[in-house]
Amino acid sequence: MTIRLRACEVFGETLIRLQGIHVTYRRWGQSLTALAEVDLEVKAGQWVMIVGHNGSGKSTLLKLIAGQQEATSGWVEINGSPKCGGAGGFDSDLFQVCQDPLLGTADGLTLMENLVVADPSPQGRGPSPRGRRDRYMELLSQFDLAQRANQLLRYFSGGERQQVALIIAKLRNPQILLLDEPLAALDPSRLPMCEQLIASMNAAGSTILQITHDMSTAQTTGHRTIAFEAGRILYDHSGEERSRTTSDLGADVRQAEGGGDKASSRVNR
Amino acid sequence: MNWVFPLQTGLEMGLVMFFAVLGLAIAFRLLNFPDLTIEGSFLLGAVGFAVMRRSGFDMWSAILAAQVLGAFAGVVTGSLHARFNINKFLAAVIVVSICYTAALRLMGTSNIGLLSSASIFDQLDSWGDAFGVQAGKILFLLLAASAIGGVTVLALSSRTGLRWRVAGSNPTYARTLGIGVVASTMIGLGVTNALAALSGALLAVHQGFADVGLGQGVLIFALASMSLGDRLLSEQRLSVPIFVVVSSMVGSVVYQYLIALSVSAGLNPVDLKLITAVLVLMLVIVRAKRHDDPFASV
Repeated sequence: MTIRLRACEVFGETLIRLQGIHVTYRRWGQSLTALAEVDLEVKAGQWVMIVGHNGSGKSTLLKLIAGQQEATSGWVEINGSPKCGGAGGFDSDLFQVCQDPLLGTADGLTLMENLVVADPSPQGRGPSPRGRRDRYMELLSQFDLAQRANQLLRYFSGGERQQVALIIAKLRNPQILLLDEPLAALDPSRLPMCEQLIASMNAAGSTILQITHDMSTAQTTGHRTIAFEAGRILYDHSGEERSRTTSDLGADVRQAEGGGDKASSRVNR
Repeated sequence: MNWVFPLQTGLEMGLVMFFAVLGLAIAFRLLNFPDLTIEGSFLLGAVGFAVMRRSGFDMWSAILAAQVLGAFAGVVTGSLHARFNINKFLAAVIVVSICYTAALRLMGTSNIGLLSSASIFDQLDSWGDAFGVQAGKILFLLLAASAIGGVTVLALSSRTGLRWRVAGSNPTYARTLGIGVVASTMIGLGVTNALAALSGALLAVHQGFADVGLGQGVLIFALASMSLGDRLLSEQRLSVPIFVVVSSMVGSVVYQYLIALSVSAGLNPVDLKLITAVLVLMLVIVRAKRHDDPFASV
């Protein structure tokens, strides 16, 4: 498999900027700090891999950028303009593939209808209906799904639906692509194709933030690896640095804790 | 036992009620909204129609006004849920109770008779007299039902219709696609409740009067028709919008025929709701056992 990455110098200006981000969930007298003191800049065209244990704040980070979650303090800037969270103001420049394959597609529609409804290019302009259909079929046939175009998505397995979600992402060609463990539900034979698809989206200009639990993927894929632990950034490596990172995240965490980081004290009353 | 007369009643009533069943089925199946509002919008449709007729408006304006009223009820339910996050059932129950008062206020009395004004049905019936049955009425209803059913299929298969359906079945994903979930829910429920109001207006014409009791039980009758149609057509290979329209029509007619048959066989109409409820339960339980059912949840 050959994935061509851009050289680091080609990245554009800062696309996503997070400053002094704290996210604290409060309910019933309890509170949980999901993110603390997070400062992060992602440049246009970068492909960032995010690792961390369960509950370390990775998904909260993506929700924050997607506008589904509001920061308790700090601010999020996308393309230089502040992002308001909570109300869920989505723009067509951003697309998210969730961890749960059932959430990333519409199951009451057929596969073809899912592509039709997700296609961002305005109707009546651009390619003719026939041209569009040919393009959809071409995308689907790459994944051996063309003959199932008229089946309801309800009858697709979780892994298949995750592939459909990635195909939709490709179709939308978003400026920012948020991937929350997109490959977790896939069988090994499909992995290379889907990795290739994600790489092609990056090559086409999408800035990607991808969560993974596979450390070797995190070190070899994309341009940059960020590790989260207990809501804080444990390390943020890019380029050469990445290959020197130990593949044992646990060891990194223990090392950091030994250095006086109070990683285990974030549940406060 | 007379089989023909119940058949005629079944067809007439089935086609009159078809629009309400269709509205409910679209809301249930495609917008993922178990919409109780039709109990109110149906009543509002009948009452709105009768009030317009009493004030001297013609048939078509009266039907249009009825649908506007029904649509308004649906829009309110939709906005209560989508905009203010009120539970779907609670939102609908609140709107139904508002509809009841609105209907009484509109009428000023508890019922309005329509027999003095000649209906379009009467004219149509004179054509059908040659056949010995009131075929003109049935033909008219069949045409109206087919036309509206056809338009519904086209609308639900269009890109706009698809967007409404995504907003209903997976709101989070719909927002990711930039679909306005609040507007889609309001428009969707507006349309389904306009359909229910159309049934209400037609029933008022059919019966020759409108009263505040008219909407009562519509929900359970429509549910029974919907489940019945679902069961009868479950083996057919149809696209989802076509399935919803055809099964609503078949279910509605078959259900009304069964009711007419039972009544002519001596069933006490008092027991109707209990029997209908048991029928709905049976259909739902039978279906819940089939794992391949795409609509197992409803």
